[in-house]
Amino acid sequence: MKKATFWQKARCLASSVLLAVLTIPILFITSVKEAEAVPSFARKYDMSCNVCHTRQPRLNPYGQRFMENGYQLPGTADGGRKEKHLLGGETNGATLDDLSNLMAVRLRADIQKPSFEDNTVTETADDVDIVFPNVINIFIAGTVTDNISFFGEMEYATREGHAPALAFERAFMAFDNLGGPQVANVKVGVFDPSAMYSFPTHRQQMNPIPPEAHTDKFPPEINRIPLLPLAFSSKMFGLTRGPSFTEAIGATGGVDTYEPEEQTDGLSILPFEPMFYNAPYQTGISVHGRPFGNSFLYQVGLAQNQTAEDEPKTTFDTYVMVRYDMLGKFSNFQVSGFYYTADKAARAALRPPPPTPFGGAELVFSQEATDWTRMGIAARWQHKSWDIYGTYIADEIDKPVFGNAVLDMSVWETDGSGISIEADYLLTEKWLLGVRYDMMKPGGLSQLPPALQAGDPEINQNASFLGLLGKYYPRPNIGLYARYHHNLESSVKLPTAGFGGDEHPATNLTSMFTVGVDMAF
Amino acid sequence: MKKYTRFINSLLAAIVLSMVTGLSAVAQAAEAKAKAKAKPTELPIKVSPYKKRPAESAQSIAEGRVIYENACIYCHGVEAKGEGPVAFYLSRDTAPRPRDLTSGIYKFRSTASGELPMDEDIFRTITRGVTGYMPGFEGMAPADRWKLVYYVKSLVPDFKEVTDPEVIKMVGSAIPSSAVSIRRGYDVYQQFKCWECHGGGGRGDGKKAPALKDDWDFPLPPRDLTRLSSFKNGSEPADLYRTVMAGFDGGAMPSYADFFEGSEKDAWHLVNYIRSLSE
Repeated sequence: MKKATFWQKARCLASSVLLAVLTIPILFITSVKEAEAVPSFARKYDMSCNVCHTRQPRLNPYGQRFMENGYQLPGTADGGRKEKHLLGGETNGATLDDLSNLMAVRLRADIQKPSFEDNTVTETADDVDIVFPNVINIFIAGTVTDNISFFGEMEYATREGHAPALAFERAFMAFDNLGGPQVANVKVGVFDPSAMYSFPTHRQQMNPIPPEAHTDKFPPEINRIPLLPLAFSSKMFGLTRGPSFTEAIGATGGVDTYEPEEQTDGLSILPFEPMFYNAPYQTGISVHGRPFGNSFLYQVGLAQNQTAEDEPKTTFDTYVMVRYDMLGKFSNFQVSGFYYTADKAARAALRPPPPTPFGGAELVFSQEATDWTRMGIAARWQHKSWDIYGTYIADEIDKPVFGNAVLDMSVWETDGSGISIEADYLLTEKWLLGVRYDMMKPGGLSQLPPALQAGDPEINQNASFLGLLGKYYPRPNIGLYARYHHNLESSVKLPTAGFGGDEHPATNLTSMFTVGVDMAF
Repeated sequence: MKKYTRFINSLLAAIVLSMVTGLSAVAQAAEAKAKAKAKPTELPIKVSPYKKRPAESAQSIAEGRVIYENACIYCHGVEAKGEGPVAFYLSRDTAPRPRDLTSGIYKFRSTASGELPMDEDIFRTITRGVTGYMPGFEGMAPADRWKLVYYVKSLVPDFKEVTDPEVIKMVGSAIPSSAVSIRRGYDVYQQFKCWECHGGGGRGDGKKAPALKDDWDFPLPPRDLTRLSSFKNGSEPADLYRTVMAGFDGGAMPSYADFFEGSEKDAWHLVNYIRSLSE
């Protein structure tokens, strides 16, 4: 990887600073009505962010209930509030909800300084990476009438490696209180099923830092693993989304084989990639409610997926979640568990190093796509200034069969598990401290067949990170933060096992230091 | 070419962002304009616009409790002492915390200082909420709000004994705002030393402001009178009159009813002055 010159770095920094200088005043001049009136729901109800958030973006129990109730105040069906604001004055006004009561913007920007054991495998090496803004989320959300609500979240990511375009990360409608108050609430569209789990992943105090990776290769080229709750990661090495991402050119001994140059993006499943019950862009339908009172919450759902078979079919993963809530003096305790199953969700693959025993064919898929099951338990305890939450998630796949004496000597582990635990402490009204531990004990491909390796260590290496966070809120809707992640496995020196470079991706990233801003208005 | 990609992406993002925030600002300006044009709603001190209410009975109180456990428990707590799990995050170090509904101390009243509130006062607070801190439950069915009122009352035994609290009398009505009225209101503001807490310009930065605390010893900054929309007890003339006369029990704002006795017109002038600070 060619490193940027001093002048290139300087130009990049100057352009980012210039944009920051131009954009920050625009934000403050045009967006902030008053300190306690911020994104659209807060504006609609004239409330502080902290009515629904411990500190944004994380929801407190009231915010969770507001979300559960279809963005209506808990205990009500106030979607039909007639308080419509007039746009354009009394005579020419349109009787629509005020735009600012429907629309909100969240902006994230940061400066990242990663450190690597081996810089040669990385794209950005250990340069300081500054982009302003980094991610912009535009929310359009509200209620149509009583018990019918909508939510759209478009994300615009400017960082290289992301599509520089607006894309709906979440877009759904909700039909609430069907069959009576709290009996059944139906969500249809694109949403994250884990939103009601005790460890919801898309409202983290430590925003996910995406990976630098290429999934059009197998094994995937992982320049930098992502920093996100590893419990939700796929955890499985050696899996793909199946042959539909490539063009079949034939079969050898019952083994489908493919030319590497015909592969397309998305073929490989990253072991660190969040999947199942936590996937943005996941289309489906779910039903949740509390028909037996406030203590128990249920959720059942279907998530659309595509099988990894030779002839891929659209299928629906199924999931169920139950949660128990208990309120006390300044405290809230909840525990939840879920079960998720996806049929024929992935396909194992091997790429023997050339010369291969398969006459030039390089990528070899297993005979059958594997079913994938995931189970998780999570708990959250919030008391006064403390907010502690964690989850343990276990995944299971089938052992792949290649129908070939050599490849079937490969070693696969069918189980993987992960833990993510975070503790946040509100030191003062404006200062929040956090610490998060993530650990992943992966499954999937562990050893290549003896004929194809030369004493390589296990491929599916553990990954674990410790993250520290300091966040300052000058206003409830603006969080300025510094965070540091340390790779607890980085001292382990491991060959790459086919991932490119000299160091295994799980151990290559030593640390990541980030400062940034997360604001919503 | 690649070196410009990030710059172009960032520029595009900034443009999109500016457009969105600009639209938002336009909408906010339109809303503010519409609000400014709207005629103030003159509510009498003793508000009784909700005549159809369910009977106060053991059953309606029990139903009110269920509503409380769905809608209010997260802030006001299991025991209604203001100790819900959200309370600490809402106001960690400063007032206001969610009210201890068992204390019998009510901030928003149309009754004399130290008295229990009218049913309508509680109903109004539930309906309107408290700007910034408590949402208005106008989307809740009026009958359910009344049941909630009855449940809240059931938490304070004194409500059974005091059936006829001393109500603040509304003398006269709102005086149309004028330069003369505002000038008189300014004089009243000076005379009663409102500036000691609210500051000379009404920004809540008076010399006594840093030391003010509520009855629970939490720092309680006085209201910035230049931000009409942030007034917790309402910002219409009748709301301000009620606030001045009744004060905020449990808070630092005393009742000025005695001071204005016989010169209630001056209270209306003061209301006009306060409202003029936001213009």
